[in-house]
Amino acid sequence: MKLMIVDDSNIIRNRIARIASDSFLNQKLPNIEIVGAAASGVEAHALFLKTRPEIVTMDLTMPEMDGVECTTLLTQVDPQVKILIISALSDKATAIQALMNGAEGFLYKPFTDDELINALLELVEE
Amino acid sequence: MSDLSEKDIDVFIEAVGDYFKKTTQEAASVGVAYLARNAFPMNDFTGMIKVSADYDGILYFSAPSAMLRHLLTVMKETNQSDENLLDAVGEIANTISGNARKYFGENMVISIPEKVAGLPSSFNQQARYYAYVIIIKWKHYSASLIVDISRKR
Amino acid sequence: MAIVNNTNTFNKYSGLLIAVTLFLLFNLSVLGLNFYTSSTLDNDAISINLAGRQRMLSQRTAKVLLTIQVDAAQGKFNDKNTAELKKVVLLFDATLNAFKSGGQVLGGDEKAVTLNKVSDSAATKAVDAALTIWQPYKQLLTPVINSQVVEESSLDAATDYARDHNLKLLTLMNDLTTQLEKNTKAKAGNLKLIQTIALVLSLLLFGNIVFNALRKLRAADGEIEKAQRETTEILNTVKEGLFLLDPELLIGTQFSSSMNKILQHDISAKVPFMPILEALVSAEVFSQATNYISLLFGNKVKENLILSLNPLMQVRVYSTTSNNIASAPRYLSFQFNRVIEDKRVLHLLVTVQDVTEQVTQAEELLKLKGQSNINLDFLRKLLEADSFQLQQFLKNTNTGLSALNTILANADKRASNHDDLANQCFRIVHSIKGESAAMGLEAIEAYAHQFEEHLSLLRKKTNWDTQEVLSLPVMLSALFDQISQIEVIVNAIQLHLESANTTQKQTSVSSSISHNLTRLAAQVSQNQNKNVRLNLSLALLDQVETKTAIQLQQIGIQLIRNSICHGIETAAARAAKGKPPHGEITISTQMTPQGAIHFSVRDDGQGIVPARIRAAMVASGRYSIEMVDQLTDKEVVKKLFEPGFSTASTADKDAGSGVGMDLIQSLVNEIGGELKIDTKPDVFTQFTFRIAQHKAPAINLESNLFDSTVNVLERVT
Repeated sequence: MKLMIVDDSNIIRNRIARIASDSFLNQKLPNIEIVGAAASGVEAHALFLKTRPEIVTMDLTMPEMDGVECTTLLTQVDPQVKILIISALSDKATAIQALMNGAEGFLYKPFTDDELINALLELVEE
Repeated sequence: MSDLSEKDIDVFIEAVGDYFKKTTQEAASVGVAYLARNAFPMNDFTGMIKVSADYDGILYFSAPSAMLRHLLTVMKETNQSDENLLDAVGEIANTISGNARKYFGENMVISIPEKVAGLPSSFNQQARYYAYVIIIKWKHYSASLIVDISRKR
Repeated sequence: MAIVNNTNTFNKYSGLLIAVTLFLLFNLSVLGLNFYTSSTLDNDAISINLAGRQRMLSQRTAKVLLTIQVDAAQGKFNDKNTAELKKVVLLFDATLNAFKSGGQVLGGDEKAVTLNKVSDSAATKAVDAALTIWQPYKQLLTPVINSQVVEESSLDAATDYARDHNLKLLTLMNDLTTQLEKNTKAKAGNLKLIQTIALVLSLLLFGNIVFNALRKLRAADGEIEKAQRETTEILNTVKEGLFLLDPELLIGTQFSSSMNKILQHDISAKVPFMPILEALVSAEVFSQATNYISLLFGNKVKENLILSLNPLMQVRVYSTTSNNIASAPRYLSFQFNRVIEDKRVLHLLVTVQDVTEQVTQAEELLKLKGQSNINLDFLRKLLEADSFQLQQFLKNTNTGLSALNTILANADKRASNHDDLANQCFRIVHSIKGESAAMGLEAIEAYAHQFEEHLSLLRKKTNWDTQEVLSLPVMLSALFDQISQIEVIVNAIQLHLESANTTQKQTSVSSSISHNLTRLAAQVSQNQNKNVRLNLSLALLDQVETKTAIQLQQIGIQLIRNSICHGIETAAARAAKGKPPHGEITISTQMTPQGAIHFSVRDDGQGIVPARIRAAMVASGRYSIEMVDQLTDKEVVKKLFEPGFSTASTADKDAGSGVGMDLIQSLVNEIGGELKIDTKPDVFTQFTFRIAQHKAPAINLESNLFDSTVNVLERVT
């Protein structure tokens, strides 16, 4: 499974990548290959076209292009892509909008390692 | 005038506590809470979120570098450059205000975090007559959560 | 689900199935029996026929034999006759033997039929007897049959035998026939009986099946009816709106009757839900809800995630009957649950609740909390107040609140306990309360009182949660806000007065303090329903520092409260003691020859009585009787100065919070000097504060009170 991480925080990108690869080592997750990490929606769109990941973790509040908009773009390119929103924005309207625009899961920040693993598992298992 | 209540402010504090608990398995707690005017207890790194729409003002999360380094270590982040310390403090402020939207609703519009090392320049304009200062304790460190937010009438 | 259903069906109908199977088996066996019996009856008919033929054959034999004899007498011989005799004899013989032991014989239509040997005794006897007659008869007949000519000797022998035995043989064959007929009749009778019984039994079985089936059907119908009735009853009585929403977003056929009321819309089955919702909620919420419901019907998003996103969890709804726009707002809570079959979302179960009461209560509480106390009456008070005093008050209050804030900020560093923290805050708030009461600023006084009440609530708790920790700066912030609003107003008034060049006449500190104390005494005595006269001589206050004068005013405020609440008795009690009906409080300033100033507050009330304090201590529950007994009277009186101690059983706005004396002590410490208490039960209490010029502050209980005898202290300064 090819994974792309989208978040404007460097430490969050690193943390997601670390949890995903550690979990593969611990056999908690199937093989997830991290094909890229982007810090904004615009960057994510370009990287998506190049690497064509199957799963994407997506932050919502980002400069240039926010996560909801980016989700719409990515699902237009590939309707099969599975997008997990990872955001601190906890209001319902935003979450519903993201899900309507094609996201499949929603994980609230802050999250524990296990919460991220479970969210990724749910995404991969379908 | 409907000012922020202790429940409103608690929402921010809970968010900080939750952040540390989820990220490090060790919750942060409240030391003291008081009011401040013009003299905010700032630390080495500060994350700021501006709120607008039905609300006005800024939320600050200001932490000493030692605390942030310790946090990154727990997160297994080896790169502890100033840039990453700023990133951490911004992410915390962002998470706090993002979480608070669940309670305050989408009529509290929040900005993307602004991150400052040293003293932030913009805090000489206060939204409140007195801002709330809450000293947050995590391990043996103290950080400041400053709620300078008022509800528009 | 389907499997479960089958087992259920089987269980439900097993009784019926078994009954029907039994019925069929029974009828089949009766049918078999019938077949068997009627086939034996067929056989019996053959036997009867043949027995009848034997009768005929025996006669025929005799007749042919006689014909042959008659022919022979005439010398004629007809071989036709012998042939017939042969045929008849053979047939009779074969048939009789077949009756004896069973076998094939020629039937009436020249076809071979099987004859069963006779079985019952009467028939056997007849057959045996016939055989006994027949055997010799047959032997006599044989030569007759075989001869081709007339042979008179054998013919005569046969004929003679025939004459002798023919009748007997006929009778026997007749008996046989009769017997066989009787047997058959009996058999047929049995068969009829069996058939009748079988018919009756099968009718009974059938009736049983029908009865049981009907009963079960009725029971099942009854259950369905009952279930339907219950459903209807539930739907008619639940307060919540309940209905099913199908994927076409139509309301299902059954819904609770409260729906109409809750949604304020006439609901009927199969009407579209979305237009109803659209009329109720804002456009923004409606679009969110539309998205949300479409997500619910989709399978992509997990239920637990989606349930948490419900935008209609608590939503303000607008009156659809728009004739009354100003009607009170209503709030509804919609809950959606997926009804899933075969992994498909079949319906949404929707629950609607009217949560207006909960929401508005919470809102009102919030509104009440943030309400400003500044109103017209308050503004009038501000205008009337002495501007210098007002400035002083604002300055003092700001200083006090800042000090309180510093206490909060440093609470952690000093690692003091919460009790301590609350007490420190209490002193400050109490002094603000007293001063604002003296100034007639009731709005501030009320707020300070509220703050005090909150503090005494916190004081009782050993552990404060985050919200309790937060409540202090929140209340402080509100008080700061009020003070700052007053400052804005006061400054505006000041500016206005200055520009109008009508500067208020400067009143002296002593007269404004007198004014304040008089107002306070009037207010408190009215609250406490007591008759009090206040005598004041405070001219010396103009000679001390204003700050000290204000602090002395604060002491005066607390002591006036104490006197009226604890010292001065009710008019009735005073009359009983022979005292004048109105109590008297005298506050005076005096200068000693050494130049020291004495500030004294005296009342002619009931005095300080250690026994009464002891009782209050025990009643407070904080001290046991033993502990109280161990204390000396002096120690008991000292308790009055402990924070949180009060002899009043209930706290109200004026007294009972147990802070006044504590505050006095801290003021005495601040100013510096010596506080002396003199008292005589039922006569008076006097507090004298000797303001030190350069002396360490102390409360002198030791030298002036209780040093010789308790309760009898008449030394008055």
